Amino acid sequence: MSFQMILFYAGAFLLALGLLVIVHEMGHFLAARLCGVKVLRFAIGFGKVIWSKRLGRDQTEWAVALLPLGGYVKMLDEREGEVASHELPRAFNRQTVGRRAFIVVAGPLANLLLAIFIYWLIFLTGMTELKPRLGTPPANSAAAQAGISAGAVVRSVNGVVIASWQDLRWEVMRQTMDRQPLVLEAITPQGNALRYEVNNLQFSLAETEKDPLTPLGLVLYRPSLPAVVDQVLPASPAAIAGFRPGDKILQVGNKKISEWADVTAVVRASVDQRLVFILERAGQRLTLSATPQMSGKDPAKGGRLGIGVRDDPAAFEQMTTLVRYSADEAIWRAVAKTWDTSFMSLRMMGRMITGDLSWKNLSGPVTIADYAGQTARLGLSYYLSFIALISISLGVLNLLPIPVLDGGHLMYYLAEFIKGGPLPERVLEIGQRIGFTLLALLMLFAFYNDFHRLLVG
Amino acid sequence: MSNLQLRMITASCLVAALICILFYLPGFAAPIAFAVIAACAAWEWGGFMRQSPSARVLYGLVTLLFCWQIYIFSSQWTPVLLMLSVAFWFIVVPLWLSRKWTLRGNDFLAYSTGFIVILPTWAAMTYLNKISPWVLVATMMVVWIADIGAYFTGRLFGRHKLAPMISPGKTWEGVAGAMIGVAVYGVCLMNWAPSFVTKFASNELFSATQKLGLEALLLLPLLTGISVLGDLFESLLKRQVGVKDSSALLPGHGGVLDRIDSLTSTLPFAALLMYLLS
Repeated sequence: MSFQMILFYAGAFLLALGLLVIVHEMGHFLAARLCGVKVLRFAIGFGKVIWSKRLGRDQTEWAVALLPLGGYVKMLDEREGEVASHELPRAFNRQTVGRRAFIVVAGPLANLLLAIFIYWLIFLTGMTELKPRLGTPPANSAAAQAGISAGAVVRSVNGVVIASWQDLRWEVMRQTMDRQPLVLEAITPQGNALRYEVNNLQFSLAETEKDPLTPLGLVLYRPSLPAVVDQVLPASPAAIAGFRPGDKILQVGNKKISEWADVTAVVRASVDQRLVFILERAGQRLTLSATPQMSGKDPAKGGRLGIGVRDDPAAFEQMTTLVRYSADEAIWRAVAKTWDTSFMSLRMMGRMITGDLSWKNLSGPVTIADYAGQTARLGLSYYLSFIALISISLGVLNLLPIPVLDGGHLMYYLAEFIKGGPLPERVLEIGQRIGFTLLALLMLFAFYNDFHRLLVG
Repeated sequence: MSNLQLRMITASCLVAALICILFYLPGFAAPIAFAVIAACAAWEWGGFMRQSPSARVLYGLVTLLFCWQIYIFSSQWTPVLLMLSVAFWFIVVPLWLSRKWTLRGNDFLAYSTGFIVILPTWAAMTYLNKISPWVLVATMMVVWIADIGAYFTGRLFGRHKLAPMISPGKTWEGVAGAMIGVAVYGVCLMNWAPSFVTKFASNELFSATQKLGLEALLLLPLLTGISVLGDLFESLLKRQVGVKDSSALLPGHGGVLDRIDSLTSTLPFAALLMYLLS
């Protein structure tokens, strides 16, 4: 990785992190001001203050500190220092439980609101997605029995309008969970409207949870690309066999080839089997033989030769569509997406605790910085959705009932509310210690995973 | 007749003239009309430089000539002009405002500055109008909405002065109002422009709305900021010469530059963005 790249990744990471921390602390700050609590300091980062300025009626100190992995809002509080008697009503600890809970919850809430805002912007301005265009279904599949032909674009599933392949996937998953027969409305490339009924739903639910579409025979349409080699990977089986860019593949074994997909189908199915290729090169026919190797460690991925086809931008254009919503619909979609994502990250955390999901999925700052850089290179909308995702994680994580975190404070306030008075200092102290230990362990895990990924890959 | 009535009558005439030029007159009329506006603005600029009446008329005529030259012979210079203008507004003007430079006497630099303010504005109007008159109107709307938003929020909540030495009426609250107004306008445009365009099917206009993406929406605050800069810059020049209006060409409104001050900074920037996105 070049020096510029490292700078770019670090910049993308710090920008994202800075924005998230500012938004989170701004939530606490505004809520505190709304309740009349005096804010002494608003800090981005921990530790030694690099820059600060006092502003406003309360002379709040706005500070940037050295360690950029967080921030804090310091409020007037009798437990942390002397408070002049005339300012007592403005101290945090003198507020009612409800107000304190509001100030504490406002930080994570601001993160969730930021995610909603970003998703709203993205839904409003549109994003490029795969069209719900169906390919030739495998023989005997439910889709084949329903008479689905290649090229039709799905418009609705059981009356629900579909805009993208992702929508189709989601809606089919919902409908098949309830074991509903599917009614697909589609438009053929010639412009005719068609109705398909897919009612032979014979598959297990576990199967559909992973991928609802393939068991039904609903496959993505792929434009047919000519079977002409465009790249040959160095030292691959193809390079050893003598393939060259520009070779047109006519036949593999005894199978006639008409498009690129035919080639990949044969190659995938023939790990460690010698295949005879008939090619056309510069107008002449020639014969080569090559043996596909297993790609990676996963046998399910099948064999690979190391030849690539030329991408056809026009075909890609045909496969994609710009999905964009009106301002009001985009709000609901953004809220739903934020809710789904929050719920999903909670479930992931739950499954890590129950052991269903490996702790290796926990990422620390290094992995996050890596994603920040990658998405920033892809484009603004990718980078912003990444920021939304991290914002949600930050919001949800902070709401977990672990002392030290915002959620821990909320837990105390709930206990205080039920008990009708503050909890004893001793309980709070023990809670803090447990919380610190838990968080330290969590961070250790995350850092370990980061460096493991970095070094081992 | 009261001043307000006069103002209203002039405004209605201007709007009617603009609609005629953009939508009813043949295509070549608009660049000519824009060039006349540019020439009037240049004549007023000569006033800021305290030039003699004949020198001011001459400067206006030279501007007219330049517009004609660019239009006929070198439309490929348009992006260069636009870039010059953007560099001027982003780099030179902030310095100018903070150092309070003046346009002094019969100065080559002052005439050139006038060209950098006026010619790219003409080029941007012509360029945007060529894509579609609707694109020009939609861009000019950004400035008008910023003005309206700033005016009302400034009157209601204005407390913190933006630049008391240059233009005492402007407040930070007004700027915030302008930003919010423009953001709302951007969202409305995003929401309705595509369906509006399919009704008035024109290919250029369609591809123009396709560019209304996330990037465009996030650049709107920058555009608003630049429009405020255009406003402040003209205010400073007027203050330095000690006049309230740039001229009395438009009864009840003052001069042409008073009307187009924010446009001189925003239109070239918007046109350059359009150009770079295509």
